[in-house]
Amino acid sequence: MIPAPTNREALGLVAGFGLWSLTFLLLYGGHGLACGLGARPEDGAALTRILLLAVWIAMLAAHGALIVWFVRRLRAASDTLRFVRRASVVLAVAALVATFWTGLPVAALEICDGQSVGLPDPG
Amino acid sequence: MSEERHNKALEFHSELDPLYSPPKTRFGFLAATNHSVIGIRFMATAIGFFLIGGILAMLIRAQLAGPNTQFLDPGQYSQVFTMHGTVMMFLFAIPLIEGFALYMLPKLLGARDLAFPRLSAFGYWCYLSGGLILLAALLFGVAPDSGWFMYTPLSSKPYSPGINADVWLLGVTVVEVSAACAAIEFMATVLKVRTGGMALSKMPILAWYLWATSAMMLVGFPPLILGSIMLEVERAFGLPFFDPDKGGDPLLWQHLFWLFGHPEVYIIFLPGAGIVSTILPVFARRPLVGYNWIVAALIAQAFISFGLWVHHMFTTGIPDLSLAFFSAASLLVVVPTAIQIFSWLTTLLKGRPDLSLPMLWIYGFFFIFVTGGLTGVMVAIVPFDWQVHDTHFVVAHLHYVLVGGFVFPVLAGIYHWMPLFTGRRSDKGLGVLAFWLVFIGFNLTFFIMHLTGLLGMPRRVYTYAEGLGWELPNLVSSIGGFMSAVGFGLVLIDVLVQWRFAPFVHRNPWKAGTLEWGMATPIPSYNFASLAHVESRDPLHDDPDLPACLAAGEGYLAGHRGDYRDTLGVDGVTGEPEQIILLPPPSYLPLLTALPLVGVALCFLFSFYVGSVILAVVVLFMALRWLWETGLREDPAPIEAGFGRTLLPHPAVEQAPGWWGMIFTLVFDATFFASLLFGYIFLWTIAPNWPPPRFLEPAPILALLTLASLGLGGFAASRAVAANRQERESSRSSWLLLAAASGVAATFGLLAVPIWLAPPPTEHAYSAAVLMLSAYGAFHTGLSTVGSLFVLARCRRGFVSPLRSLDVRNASLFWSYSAVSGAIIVAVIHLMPLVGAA
Ligand code: HEM
Ligand SMILES: [Cu+2]
Repeated sequence: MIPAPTNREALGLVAGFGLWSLTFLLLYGGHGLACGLGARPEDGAALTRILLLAVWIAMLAAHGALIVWFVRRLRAASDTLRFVRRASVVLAVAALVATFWTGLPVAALEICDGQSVGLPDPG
Repeated sequence: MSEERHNKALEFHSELDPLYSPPKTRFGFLAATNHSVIGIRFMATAIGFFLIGGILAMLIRAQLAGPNTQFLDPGQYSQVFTMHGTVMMFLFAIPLIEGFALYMLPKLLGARDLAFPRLSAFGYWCYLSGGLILLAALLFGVAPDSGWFMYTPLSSKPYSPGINADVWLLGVTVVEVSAACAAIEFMATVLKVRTGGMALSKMPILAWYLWATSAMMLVGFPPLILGSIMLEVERAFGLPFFDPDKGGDPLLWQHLFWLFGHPEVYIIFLPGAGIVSTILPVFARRPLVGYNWIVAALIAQAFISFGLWVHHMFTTGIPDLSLAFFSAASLLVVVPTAIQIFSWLTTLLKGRPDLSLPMLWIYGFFFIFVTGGLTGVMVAIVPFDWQVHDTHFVVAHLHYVLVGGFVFPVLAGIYHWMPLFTGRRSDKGLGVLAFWLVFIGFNLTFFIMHLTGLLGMPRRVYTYAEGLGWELPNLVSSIGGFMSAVGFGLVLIDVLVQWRFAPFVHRNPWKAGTLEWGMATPIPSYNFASLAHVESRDPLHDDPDLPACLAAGEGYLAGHRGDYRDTLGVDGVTGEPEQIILLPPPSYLPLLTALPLVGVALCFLFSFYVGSVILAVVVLFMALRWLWETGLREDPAPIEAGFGRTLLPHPAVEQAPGWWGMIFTLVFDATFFASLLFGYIFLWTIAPNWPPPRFLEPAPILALLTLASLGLGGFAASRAVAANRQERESSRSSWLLLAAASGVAATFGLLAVPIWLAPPPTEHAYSAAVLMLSAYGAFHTGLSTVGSLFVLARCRRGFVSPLRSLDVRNASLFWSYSAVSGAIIVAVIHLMPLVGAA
């Protein structure tokens, strides 16, 4: 009588941006840690950059895999599940773009350089 | 036919109303748990605090109206602006959102109450008491005075020796307990407590907004609570978390505060936007364009807004690359906002909107919010900001966003939903005048204030000299401020007048489609005599007769099944009816649990620590007493639920709301833990004066024993679940006992470190952090121990069976969490010194 609970399906909605958050933490935290441990632009930064790039690319791949998996599941969806599964795919794609965008500075900027101004905002 | 229906409806009403109302005894109101009652209390209290915050704002404007004013001295001025910010953010905005969600969610979802009604009542008492503590401090002249973000070292003991800062830390933390409870409750409610057929795709958009908001509260508040606790123990016991001489770092406070503080802006904005997304389609007379896109945008926004906190930390020496991540996220977060604005505009253009009072406020919202967004872009441009940082430009910008993005939609919402609790139409009249006064006054105040900022006037200064060109703009701002104050006063009068004199309306005056209008007005205490079966997002448009059918009992769970309250529980995604949720009767326990909790904070405030400890034990006892009253002592039979379905009551169901309550509690808890670990690692790698003078004595055997007891406890608790499933009662008891015994051992193992092995916690931030981590672990293993024994007692009394397994499952889940977090703590505490020494 009681249908199989589908509560877990709702997790799909947060999977994509969950990965984005993880990437953000790894990149921001990893870089901060490296600088805290003494990496400077002049020395040792190459390794840090390679590690950060590796994280970024690995996470992009994870995003890609998530999308493929979600798209497959979309085909098997019943009527009531279609909305959630479709939204999960859209969010997973958006999260991929977000991760690509957020990680770009790793490729472009100096590691541990500059100690300057934040982008402030009031409050 | 209709006559017959009417009589039936009256019959249901006379049976249900007493059952769902607070007890009619003298102090019965203290036992109320009904969501409409508690929601109204929350909102009324929050509006009371809005008036207080507004009076403080008027004091500020009076002081700044001219140069060299002696109306307030610098000390008083600091208290006034700090309290203005604190009251508005913590005692007005967040609680108003909680109250609004409490009141609206069950109605939107077609239910009779929330998942945990007593928790709402408990939250209310915490909020009220915390607010009163802050208010009392203001009256006695010892209010907080370090600004609403309480930066260290300004808020540390050497610079703030009085109790002012302690009032903030303790008062706000007590208030945040209510936010945490609300977040957990709303998460579980939207997931489980809806009416039949309401799949996620058919949920009213406002429920999505409030769900996203709750999720953000669930992970946004832990860093703030952690930061407040750390600062308070630094102030009380000298644990130097923020003291750079001893390996602490004031930057840590900023991180923890803004980790909460930036999402806070979105926590406030999202419900406002949700109100707009709900009201606009009603008055444009067409469905919201792009529902699916808005849902996706909300979820994305909820995440991204956590990636922005560092942009508040100005000139704090953070490498360019780190900042670039935050700039990237700052730009990203614009996209979801843009999606919503496009959707609103398209809905407006496609429809034929009228100029009713709620719409007036919504147009006001558009204007102000968009302007605020533009100045936000200006603030975000770095060189520009160099000039305006910490000037009144920033104050102007932040009010455009907060007042435009929140207060205006809220006023639209008040006029829109007022018929629900007044039972009368809400008319134009005085309200239009009030709107224009507020709108013009607001813009006069804050538009001009941008200019004052550009002329260089810093924020938070109590007065200024003549001849800087600041006199005229300040005077204009002050006049505008009083003008909007008069406007707000008129709104209040207008609402009271309409409450008394406007013409009656029976139901659904705006011809809206969502279920909150599917009941008579003023709303009955039980919301619906029977619950709808929903096929679309606008059930009242599908069938305008639906309210009458529901009132006559032609839906799920008509009337009552015993002398208890109940509502439907559904499968989270599909909305298939799944269980009957039994709601608790009115109870004094929420109040009796909140009072000792407030006592803990008050004793702490006056350095009476023994009192705090004793009262904490009382809190624990009351909480157990409360939990004891849940569940059933016999396996229930399936119950007729209407539309040919029979369902089990929730204690006999796998996916009971309580299970989800535990999961969301642990999400909150895990965020707290993650923030704590972040703090430790941050201090270790970034703070000055590391490494500490000495590390912990290595104790590999103790570490291994602690790990073993953690593992054993988690394992035993999970075996108890299995034994329960297999109906082996005596082995269930043995496993629970073993789990409790391991809990005791693990607690000792964790506490041994700060007591015997680590240097004194006041010596260095390192040993202070070790104490903090150990205390966190020991708190959890201690609770796991109590929990195991509690469940054992519940088993003895027949509350647990293979069918009714929630108690053991929850205990086991909590134990697993304690074991995993405990193992991480052991690893961090015992291994990092080896790394540090190497
Ligand atoms: C419409 C009436 C209001 C007026 C006239 C007003 C006025 C002011 C002024 C002049 C300041 C700056 C004080 C200074 O830096 O010297 C200020 C600060 C502030 N206001 Fe308002 N305000 C109003 C409403 C609100 C609302 C509704 C909120 C929040 C929901 C709010 C939140 C804040 C915050 C967070 C601060 C910063 C406090 C600090 O610097 O610690 N205000 N307000
Ligand atoms: Cu921000």
